[in-house]
Amino acid sequence: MIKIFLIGILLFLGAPLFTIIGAFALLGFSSIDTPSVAIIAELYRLASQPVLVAIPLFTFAGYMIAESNAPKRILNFTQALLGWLPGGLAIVVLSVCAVFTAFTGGSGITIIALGGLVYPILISEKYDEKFSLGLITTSGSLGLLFPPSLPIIIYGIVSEVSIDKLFLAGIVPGVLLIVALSSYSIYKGVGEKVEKHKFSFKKLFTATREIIWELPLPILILAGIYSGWVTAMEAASITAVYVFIVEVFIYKDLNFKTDLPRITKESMVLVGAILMILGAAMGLTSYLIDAEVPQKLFEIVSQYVTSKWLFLIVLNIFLIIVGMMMDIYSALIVVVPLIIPIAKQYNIDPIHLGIIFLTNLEIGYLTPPVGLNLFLSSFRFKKPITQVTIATFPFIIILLVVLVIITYIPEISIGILDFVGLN
Amino acid sequence: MKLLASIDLILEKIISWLLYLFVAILVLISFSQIILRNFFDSSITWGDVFLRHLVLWIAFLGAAIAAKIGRHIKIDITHRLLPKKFGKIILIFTLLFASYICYELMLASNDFVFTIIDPKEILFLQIPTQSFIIIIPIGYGIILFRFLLNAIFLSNEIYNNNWEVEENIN
Repeated sequence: MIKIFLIGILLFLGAPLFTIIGAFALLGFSSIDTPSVAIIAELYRLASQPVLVAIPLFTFAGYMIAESNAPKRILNFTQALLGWLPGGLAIVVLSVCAVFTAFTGGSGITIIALGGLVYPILISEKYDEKFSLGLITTSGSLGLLFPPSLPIIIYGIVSEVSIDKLFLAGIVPGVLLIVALSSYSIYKGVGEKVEKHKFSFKKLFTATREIIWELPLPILILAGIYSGWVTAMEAASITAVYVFIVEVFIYKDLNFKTDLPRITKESMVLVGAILMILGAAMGLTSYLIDAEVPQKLFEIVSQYVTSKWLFLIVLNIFLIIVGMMMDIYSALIVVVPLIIPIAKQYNIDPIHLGIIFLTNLEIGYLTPPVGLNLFLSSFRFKKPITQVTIATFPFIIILLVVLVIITYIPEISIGILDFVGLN
Repeated sequence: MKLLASIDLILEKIISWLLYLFVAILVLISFSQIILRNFFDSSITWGDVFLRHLVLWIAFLGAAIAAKIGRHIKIDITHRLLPKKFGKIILIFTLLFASYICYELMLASNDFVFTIIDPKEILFLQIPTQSFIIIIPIGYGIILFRFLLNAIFLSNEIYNNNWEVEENIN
């Protein structure tokens, strides 16, 4: 017991998470007299998962996109396409950040890479400072529900649910989040009399010509996966090759000798960090299931939580707290294996559960007092945390409303699977 | 101290070059598989198994770099909330704990590679499975080494009365 307590303290003192999970796994297996080699045997099971290969490939591609001038091109294009709407620029910010986060996995990189680009434009077009700050902070984690987002892939691996189905299920809820936030932006845009732009074919044409090489990419991925022509892993490989050719040889944004080694290293550090946690968690999870922990948890939970609806409320609150305290990858890897067996008892579809998970974690990024995006924004725009928190508040409320809708109407997520006949 | 630092520098170079090489192979072979499958109706039979084991290598190499620059994922609430003065001492403490766990995991994976896996087990093309998964104990070993090294460097800095935590090792 004292050991568990000590490890718990070390967790909050900031010991690397994979060592904390490893410590619990070692402790667990030794308590049932199983040699610790079992942990490694579980870790090695990872090497039998075909989708494992997609993780480094998508991460590599995402980092290349982030380091190139693609963010600027996406911004110009979206601005030419949607900028004429009332509150158009805000909608542009939301869409651009969502696309960007889908490709980069949303570890806060969106706020750092795109925030600095769009914040001055928002201010110069007379958007309220508070609104702009809240908008960017919120946008930083938007888009996690869209393919090829890494968190979806991780959820798929941990929950053993088909990634292709998850990619499909995320679309409508993801769009719903953006539409809800856009509506608020339009309302704000009309109310505050921000500058309006006229739609210009010429501008759209120039911006399209600029982005012509990157534009097919999302379509390629979506069409490829949804038509069943390629698997998620193959889509990852195609994306990596395509992005490499486009950014290095066509746009020449990235230099093969100077930029590529750095990008490779940076992206594989993230891959290593995620997979270390995943590896250790495979061990811990197998112990927890051996020890029937999910079953025992369910027995406790079911005493108080008598209906599916109540369970979903409790789950949502729990997940927002988790999302606030942990980064999204660890949260998924550690919490999902415990929740899935319980959710099954309440008849919750694991695909729907995944969408609930990801939406919650998206909101967790913004939740005071320690949500990551609040800190990133405060750091990036040199504003006090309290100011960022207050600015983000209306956006959190909107996201929470959408979360409730997504949670209680599973058809929003899984309806599309029936529609295309995948279920 | 200097010797340790220069060993680590050489290690860093080797790891980096292996990473570049492996990522290139990963991209090339995975892409060739798609081309072969869709246009020539064939494939490299050992390709997929090889790629998954390659990812294992990439993961441990990436994690070894992460260990050096303090980029392993952690809950950093305390870093956001506690006064900075305690930073270095807490850091040394957590690094020592992390080193110990890596040591245990290294022993466990050593057992796994050399007692659980049959030395005669072939992964593909006459290559024994052992020679692929040897990266697990080696990987934990390198991470252990680097955690310890960071702890030593940090202690040395405290000894020299430098208490400020730098951003790159956090």
